[in-house]
Amino acid sequence: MVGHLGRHGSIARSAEHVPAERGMWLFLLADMTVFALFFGAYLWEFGSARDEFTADAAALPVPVGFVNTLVLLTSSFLVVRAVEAHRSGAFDRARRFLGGTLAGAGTFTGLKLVEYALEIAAGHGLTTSTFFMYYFVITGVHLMHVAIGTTLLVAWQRALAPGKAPYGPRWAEGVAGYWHMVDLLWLIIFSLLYIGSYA
Amino acid sequence: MTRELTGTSRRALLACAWCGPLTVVVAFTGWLIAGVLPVPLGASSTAGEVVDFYSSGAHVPMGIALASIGISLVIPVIAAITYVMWLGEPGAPVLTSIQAVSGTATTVLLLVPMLLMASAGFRPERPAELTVLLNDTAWLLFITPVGPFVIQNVAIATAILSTSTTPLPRWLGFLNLWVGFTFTFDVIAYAFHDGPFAWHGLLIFWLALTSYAIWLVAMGLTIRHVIVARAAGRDPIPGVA
Repeated sequence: MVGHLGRHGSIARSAEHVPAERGMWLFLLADMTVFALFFGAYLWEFGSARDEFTADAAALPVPVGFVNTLVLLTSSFLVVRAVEAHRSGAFDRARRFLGGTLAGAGTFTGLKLVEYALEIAAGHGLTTSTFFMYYFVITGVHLMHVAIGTTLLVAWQRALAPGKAPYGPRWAEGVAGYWHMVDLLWLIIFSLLYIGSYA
Repeated sequence: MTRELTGTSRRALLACAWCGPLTVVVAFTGWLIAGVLPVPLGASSTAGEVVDFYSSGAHVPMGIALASIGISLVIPVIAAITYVMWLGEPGAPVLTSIQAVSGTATTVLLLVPMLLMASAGFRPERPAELTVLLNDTAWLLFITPVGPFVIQNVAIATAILSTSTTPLPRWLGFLNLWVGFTFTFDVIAYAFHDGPFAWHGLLIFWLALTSYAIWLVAMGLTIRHVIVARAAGRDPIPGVA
């Protein structure tokens, strides 16, 4: 669809307008289905070893996870503003909002790496317990999504620079949708692994 | 040099496209005969279980040999994908080349583990630890070298999603991104002997088997559709030249 609109294309906002394109939504759904399998497997084993999981989860730095939750929520809000600016042709403003989103992505990644370092220093690893197996695999695959999302955001921002040809609004909406998914998945991860283990 | 199809080349390409679904049918049949399916040996299987499996009869190496022939049918599929991508890639066929090279590597990485498994069943009376070694090597080689697969998926997806001249539908680009994602974390199978992330686990073997089978069928049938539509003088995707 981007092909039809062209890189400079813009679409009138109407009641029928669905952001991005159908294939993108199917992709996001399929991607989250894989995460649903991760979460399902986690909950299955959590149910049969609650005490062990709760003891391990107590080693997670909840405040760091909470700060990261706020960081991602803020970056999701900024990406919404970037899409709005992009749609209205205010490319400079969109670029600034994307700068904020990217700062959020960088902060999240930095804090996550600090968190990993703390946990590994405390003797926890991929194979030390069932809880930490899920913790490292699920947050690791999520962090890979953060990296992919960051790459897409950088491409979007760079194409908005003066003298460059910006991507079409559908492309921007697709990247924004991906970033919202990254945020949504983190909310579930934080709820299940960091907080839910105490429930 | 013409990019269009006539006579024999069109029929050959149609055969290549059908090799997608055919790979799934022949490989699954071979694995069922061998007993690799429905429940394969796992990373947690004991040496006794591994030896018992391979010494249970000639149906084991023969079934695996049949699966290796089925898996070889991926080669024509890669050729068909290469042609259709080349058809639609404007300018230098860079993404097409990446797909062709990485796709070729995937066929080798699928074929060699099958031959190792068949070899394990060739002389199962050997010391047990050697059969275990062959079995471990075969399975880890089968499951974990995901790089070429992901590169191939990303090349196909990029070609479809970034150009308007490709005859392939956009949903197929997104499907390739998803299939590639389902492979990315298979490398963690090296860390586990049990659970969903072990090589035989739900999120490793079963997920990758499912997504790769979907990929083969979807690629094959879509390419068939493109060829048939072109032969009938129809544009497979309205609005795309």
